[in-house]
Amino acid sequence: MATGAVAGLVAGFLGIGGGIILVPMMVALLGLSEYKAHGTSLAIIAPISIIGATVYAVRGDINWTFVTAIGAGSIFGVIAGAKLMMKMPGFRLRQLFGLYTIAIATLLLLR
Amino acid sequence: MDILIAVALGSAAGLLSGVLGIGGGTITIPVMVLVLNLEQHEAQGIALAAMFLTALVGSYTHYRQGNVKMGTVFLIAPSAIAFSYLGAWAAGKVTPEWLTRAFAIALLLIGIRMLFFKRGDGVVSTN
Repeated sequence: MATGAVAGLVAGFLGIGGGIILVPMMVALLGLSEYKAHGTSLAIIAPISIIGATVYAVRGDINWTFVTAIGAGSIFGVIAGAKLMMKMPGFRLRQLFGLYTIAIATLLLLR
Repeated sequence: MDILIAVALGSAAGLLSGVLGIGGGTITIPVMVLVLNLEQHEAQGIALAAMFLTALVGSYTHYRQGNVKMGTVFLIAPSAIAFSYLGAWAAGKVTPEWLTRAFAIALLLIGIRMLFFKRGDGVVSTN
């Protein structure tokens, strides 16, 4: 439950799904396998994101054209990704992803 | 042009979302802010709304592969939902500049942690 609280708070405040926090916590604290953690994480992100999005929408912070464009692309991507997961070394991908986030964070801070 | 970028961005975010089990906001938000020049609050709102679709379709695909543990969903989701509301409300109280900084620092911490993630390693301390 604490995992959910932390993930939800970060998700709502920073607009990210919280999966980045949920996955490692479920593996470490609840003993889920990597694969199960990924699937379960997405199932928790769905309600988190709809609640967060509603709050932003009420404030008028949402451009629906972009939502449609990004959403359309990501539906195809996520199906492919979920199938691909079964045959990929997740930890390598995670390290690459780590490099990416550090680079992006630097760009945002310098902006 | 912006719409094409947005569709490509969605595809990339969805792919990583499916493989890593994340929502995709870490991919979509920076590109919206840096490339599409959207304001931080707007980028976050769009990311969350688009993510709902991604997460719904992604979790269904995972569910069919037997990779969703329902007990854990029900254990974590209620508090996550409540705090998501609180977080989204709090985001409305800070300026875009500070929100971007907070976002960047969170990304930096996440990146450092992920970089040191090893095979089969659940816990890696960042400090």
